Amino acid sequence: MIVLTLCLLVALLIVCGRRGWQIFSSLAGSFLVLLVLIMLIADEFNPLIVTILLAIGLVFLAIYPNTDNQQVKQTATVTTLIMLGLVLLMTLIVVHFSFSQGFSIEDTDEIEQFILTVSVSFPKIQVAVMVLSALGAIAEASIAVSSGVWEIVKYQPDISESNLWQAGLAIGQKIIATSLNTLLFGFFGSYLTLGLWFIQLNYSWTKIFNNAIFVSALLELMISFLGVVGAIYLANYYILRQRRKLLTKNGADK
Amino acid sequence: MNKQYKRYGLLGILLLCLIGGLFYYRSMRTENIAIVQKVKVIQKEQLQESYQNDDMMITQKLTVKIISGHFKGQQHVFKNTYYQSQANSNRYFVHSKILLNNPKAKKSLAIIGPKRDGILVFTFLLIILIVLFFLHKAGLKTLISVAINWLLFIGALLLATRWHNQHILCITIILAIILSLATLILVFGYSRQTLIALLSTLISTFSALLFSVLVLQLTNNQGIHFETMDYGIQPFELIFLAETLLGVLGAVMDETSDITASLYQLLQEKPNLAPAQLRQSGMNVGQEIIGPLINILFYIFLAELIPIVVLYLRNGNTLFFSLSRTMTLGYTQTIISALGIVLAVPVTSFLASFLLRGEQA
Repeated sequence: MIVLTLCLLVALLIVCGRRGWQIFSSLAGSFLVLLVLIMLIADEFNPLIVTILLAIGLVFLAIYPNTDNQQVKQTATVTTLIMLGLVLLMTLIVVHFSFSQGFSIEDTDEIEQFILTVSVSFPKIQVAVMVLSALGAIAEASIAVSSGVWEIVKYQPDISESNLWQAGLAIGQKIIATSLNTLLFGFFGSYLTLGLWFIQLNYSWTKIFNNAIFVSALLELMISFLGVVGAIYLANYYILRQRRKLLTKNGADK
Repeated sequence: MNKQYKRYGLLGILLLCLIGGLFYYRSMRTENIAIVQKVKVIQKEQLQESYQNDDMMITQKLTVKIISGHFKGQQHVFKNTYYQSQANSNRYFVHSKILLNNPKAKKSLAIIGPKRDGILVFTFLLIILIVLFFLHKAGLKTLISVAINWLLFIGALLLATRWHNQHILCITIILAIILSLATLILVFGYSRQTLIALLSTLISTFSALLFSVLVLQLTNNQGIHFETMDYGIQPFELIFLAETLLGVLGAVMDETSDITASLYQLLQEKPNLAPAQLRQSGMNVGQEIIGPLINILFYIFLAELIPIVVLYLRNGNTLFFSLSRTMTLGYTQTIISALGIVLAVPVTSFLASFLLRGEQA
């Protein structure tokens, strides 16, 4: 494991140079932040509040090392933060209706040795899980859209607002399709074993679609996707507003 | 523009009615469903367990109305006991839907569990509507590609189980090739870009995997606990590799198609670029997306750790022990995926700088 991690670091340094360091340390940083989050939750701090506070830190860790342009950074950060807020609201609703918290019969092997009455709220932990697993995808989409659209503004400073909006959405469409692939295949990879389990034990359709693990995994996938779509529209809207401000400011200067 | 909105909006509503209707019809025909009408807490008991875990055991009296099956239209009363932490029990609310068993006599009715598929279908339909309404043709294409991927995935699972998981790695490799081909053809059509993206996806994914297997062999899988595989499904190592392969494929495809598309566009604008320059721009595009792509997989991996590690910690385990029992497989998979993502950048730039020019000549 350690050797593989070192291999990754070397590969990053060869391919990305100095930025490789930044990427690697942001990953290490995210890992540490997550450990802190887990320990705080285990120490009975409210999972929702801990998640909100630390997620803000994670957003900066996910965005700042990955782009140099100031405008892109700002747009991506604002978009991701607002979108995470909306995703938090969505997950609160979804977890309430899906009862997808905690552990399921399929986990018995792993958890039978434990006391499960541990006075920490697992529905709230489930909200944290869903929000954090959407964070990466939302940050990626916001960075990609903002860097693409600001690029257009740079090369065509006189582009009209409606054209800019259309161009931004065209970039967004491509991102939606590809990030859906990333999420979907990630899902396939993570839940291959669960699928094999379902088939080996002849689960009925009703049982599969009411299974806590399966339902929460699919909901995670879909909420991340909704977050990506939202981030794309939000980033475009935000850039239009920023640009309007810039233009009026420049007009006043002249 | 307006016509498009109408056409795809209509298609979305049609799909919505069809899927929603089918789902509703199937649930009402085959399941015993009840809706909670009244909830009353009848007992609360403070629990004192070891490691300073105090929890509350709560018993609620649920008055439900049965809405499908044998006892449709009748009322019934259940007792439901749950713990405040709800690690493996559920607290029901008014309007919650519950699945019941299917007995002959009413008095042996019992709760199987909450009905979870309603919110699942609702979210799914919401996505279909949004995708079709906002993305039109691209949205439809995306939905078709997702549907194809799902069918292939399920088919491969069925095949693998039929052979008792013995050939799982072989099946997954073939699945991976077919999935990338199908997905990339939907993105680029039948063209040289598809070829480049496909080749570089497969080369970087498989070489990352091979390289990692080699490293793991040389270090004797030091630190990895294969026996912590979910649900203890055998054979550990092969399934581990199969999972990793599928998990990284999407991200690498993302990347290779992104780099290929930008280089293609660049070559359209400046047909006289030398291969070396083309390669350099490919590297530049790639360096921008490596970080965010690794992040997507990394955060998913991290988030899934939270509940189980919290449970370990609350049961008096040390952080180090908890992590070693829960994260070694996921961590290794994420690192291998990240390696694939990094490798894809030079591989794609190299292949594209040669093969893309061939199309021009």
